[in-house]
Amino acid sequence: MTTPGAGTGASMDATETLVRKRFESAVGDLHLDVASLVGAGTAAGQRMQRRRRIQQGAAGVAGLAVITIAGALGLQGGLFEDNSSGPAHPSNVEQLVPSNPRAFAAAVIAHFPSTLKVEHVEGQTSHGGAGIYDQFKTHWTTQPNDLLLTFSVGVQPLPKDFPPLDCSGRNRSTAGITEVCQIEALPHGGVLRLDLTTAGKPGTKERNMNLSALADRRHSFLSVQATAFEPFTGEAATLSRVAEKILRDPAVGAKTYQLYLDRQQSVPGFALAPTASPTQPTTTGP
Amino acid sequence: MIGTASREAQQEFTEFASVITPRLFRSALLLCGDWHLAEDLVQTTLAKLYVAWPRVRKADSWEAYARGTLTKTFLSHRRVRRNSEMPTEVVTDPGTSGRDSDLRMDLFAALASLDKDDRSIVVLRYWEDQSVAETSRQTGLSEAAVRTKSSRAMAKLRDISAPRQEATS
Repeated sequence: MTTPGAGTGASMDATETLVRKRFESAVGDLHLDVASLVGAGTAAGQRMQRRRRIQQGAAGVAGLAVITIAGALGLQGGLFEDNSSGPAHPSNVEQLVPSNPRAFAAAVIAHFPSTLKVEHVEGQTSHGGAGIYDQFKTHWTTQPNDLLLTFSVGVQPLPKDFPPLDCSGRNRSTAGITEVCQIEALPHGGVLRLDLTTAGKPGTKERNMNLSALADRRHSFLSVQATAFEPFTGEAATLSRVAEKILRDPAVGAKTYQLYLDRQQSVPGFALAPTASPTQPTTTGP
Repeated sequence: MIGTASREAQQEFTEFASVITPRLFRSALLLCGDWHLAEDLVQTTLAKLYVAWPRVRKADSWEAYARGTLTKTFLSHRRVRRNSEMPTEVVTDPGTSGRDSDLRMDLFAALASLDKDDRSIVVLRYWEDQSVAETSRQTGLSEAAVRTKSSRAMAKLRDISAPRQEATS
């Protein structure tokens, strides 16, 4: 770039000038698809925002009753109040129709494979003018990496501009990111969206995954989110199936929805707006 | 957050993002030397800006906020993935070819020889034309460290680039 060997101010200035020119010639005239980058960035921001909103929705409402249950025994012994070391038998689910986070957790846990060991569970119920939410987070021990899942369930009057559950522009694959979205009808009238995003380059160890399943019937939401770290190929498939099971299960799906709807009636000022025509489910994913 | 805010804020973000994205991308490309990784960096930066838009709007300089977000994203990204450095020999990008591409490859190779802090400093100081104080703020390093690293990095770039310069002159 300049005469080598000199360490003087003048030669440094010359080097700086040359570096600036080299920068300009290297990247100054690149042709970019700006709209595509902005669109992808905006979509990623919306997903990030939605995840935060769901995770923080319960915590942001005043008057919380917080239940914290730590440790595997706290969940599998304390919640089910029996000494079984594996997940609850599905037949127990009916009598565990959720009325609080603990029961909801128990109903959901019933669907998880026994190979996943519960490490830690936190749950909380939030009451507020916008509705009632139950939320809990689970920390699972898996080999070789841990898994963190967050469940939120509740009914709320969603804003009028709340986007419909569709997969517009959500099935794509760009550098390092693959998104698969699938919409389908649920037996109890809701719409299920399975949204799987994987990020990271194959062969690297820092891949992570976010899976969310959202069931929507009128103005409700029920979501499952999972984050895991590479390698998670097996976990991704497992979680996808689990999410579907949870949301299709009448004990966790329709009954949960109705239960929450009933509970909303005791919340002062709570009212659901008249329902529009249900979204026509379409399958756009594989 | 924009989600429940007005369409005006959404439009404001989109307009700003459209203006700032080319600049961010060029900086990102200089920082990481890989076209696709640069796209990822910019996308992540835009996502963070989207979520933080109410704060961005209150900032004295939106561009400085965006630049700082990109730098922090790059630095944290490299910290996490420092074992996955992309060799510049296999850089493929949709940019121009021929001599320009050779020059770019040489530049990326030279930049890749710097550690991540030094690279950030060089890009901020000599591409973004940021002051030592601003570079210090964005990288989290002291001003003295910025000066020292900057001089060292420039000396290294000069030494690396000198043979090529002689050959092409």
